[in-house]
Amino acid sequence: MDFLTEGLKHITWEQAVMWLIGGVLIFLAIKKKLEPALLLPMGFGAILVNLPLSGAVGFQEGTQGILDWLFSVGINASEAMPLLLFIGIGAMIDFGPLLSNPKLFFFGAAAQVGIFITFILATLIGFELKDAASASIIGAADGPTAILVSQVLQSKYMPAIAVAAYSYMALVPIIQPAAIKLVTTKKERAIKMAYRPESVSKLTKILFPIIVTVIAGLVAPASVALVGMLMFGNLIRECGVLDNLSETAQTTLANLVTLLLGITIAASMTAEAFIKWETIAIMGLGLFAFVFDSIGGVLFAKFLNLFLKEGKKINPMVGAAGISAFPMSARVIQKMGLEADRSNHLLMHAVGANVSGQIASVVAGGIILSIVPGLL
Amino acid sequence: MNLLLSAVNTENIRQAAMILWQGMLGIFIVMTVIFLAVKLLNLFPKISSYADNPDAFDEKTLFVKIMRTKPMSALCKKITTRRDRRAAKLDDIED
Repeated sequence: MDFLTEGLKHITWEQAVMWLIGGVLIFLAIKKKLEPALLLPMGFGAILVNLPLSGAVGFQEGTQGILDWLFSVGINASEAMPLLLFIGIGAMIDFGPLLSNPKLFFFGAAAQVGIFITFILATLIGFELKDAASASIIGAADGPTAILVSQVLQSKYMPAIAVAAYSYMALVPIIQPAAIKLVTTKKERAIKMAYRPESVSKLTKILFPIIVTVIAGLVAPASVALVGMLMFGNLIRECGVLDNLSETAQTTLANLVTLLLGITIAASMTAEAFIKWETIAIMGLGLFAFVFDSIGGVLFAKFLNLFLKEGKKINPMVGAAGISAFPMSARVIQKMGLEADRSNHLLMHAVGANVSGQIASVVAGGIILSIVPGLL
Repeated sequence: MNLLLSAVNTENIRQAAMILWQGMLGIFIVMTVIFLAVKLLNLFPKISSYADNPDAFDEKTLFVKIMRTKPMSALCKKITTRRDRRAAKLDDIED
């Protein structure tokens, strides 16, 4: 009858901590509704892989555990899961507000500065370059990019990075207002911006994903898988002749990949990989990156305002919407604009900056993948 | 302080600072090129509109609309006389 107590005998305190962490993730997903589609599978997976002698990971009598297999095929071998998710995300995005006001492209670029500042900080506190790069990419506010970069660079902190990326994305409505208020006055937050969109033709919307893929591919070849999948999804959406595929990419494909992605990442959330002081440091670095991305965007807008005439000034908060957390960040900016002045509607500008952040974060990931492996 | 600095890998920090510079430059270059490409696309909304809905334009209207776009009106001035332009209903483009 020893087999009945076999599991109990192998419990470690680290595994018990992981059950607790899994429970907290499930609680946050259900009770607080924080990114439930990712945090719930990750939370459940964290419990599943940390049961003693778990058959979900490792090899049991020659058979590979299902989560190990999903991880090795879907993430380790080809990065298929995060990349397929990008097709769905691309199909969901309407780049119209950005195309009608292309100046907003620069806000997406400026709001990636937190990634690189965090890179320096992570190096300063002793992380290896590949781990520092992987931790800093949390600031991209883009879960699939964070997973892909940390996996390609073979960072041992990938599970912590995935948890941090998705948790902070869900916490954008709390993190961003605090960061923005640090560097803006109420008068600046009340700046009104006229909305005069240029007309965007269907041809422009069709050519845009193709042009972006070619440009990103030529300048940062490592980003082409990320950008290409995102833009492929968008082309399906905009071409007008593949409505069924567009619908499938936005719903079925995105849901299916999300369903598997969360629980697959959990395969790497074993106690020995997760219970480290570095996990706490990764969480801290992710928060730092998010805050400095927002501040970077705001400061860039304030810098531009130095050269703009009264009446044409940009509300600096729009710069903070240049992070990739879509559409939460745009909503936060609209809400803060209304708080400063009840007739101050910034939503369309913020949405434009926000979708620009989608492209810029993916490009940032590609640039990190272009530069860092050469230094290792 | 000296102890802290000695524990820090200065080579890594130098590389991280270089990545900050190169990374931000790279992102701005990519976004600037995309910005210019979109500006170029938006320069010719009439042509694009024609591609979307050719039935809405007759040939002559389309020609007039293209010629009134900024880059084309400059070219138009160079290659036509005032009389040509009057005949083509483009007489508002001055010499």
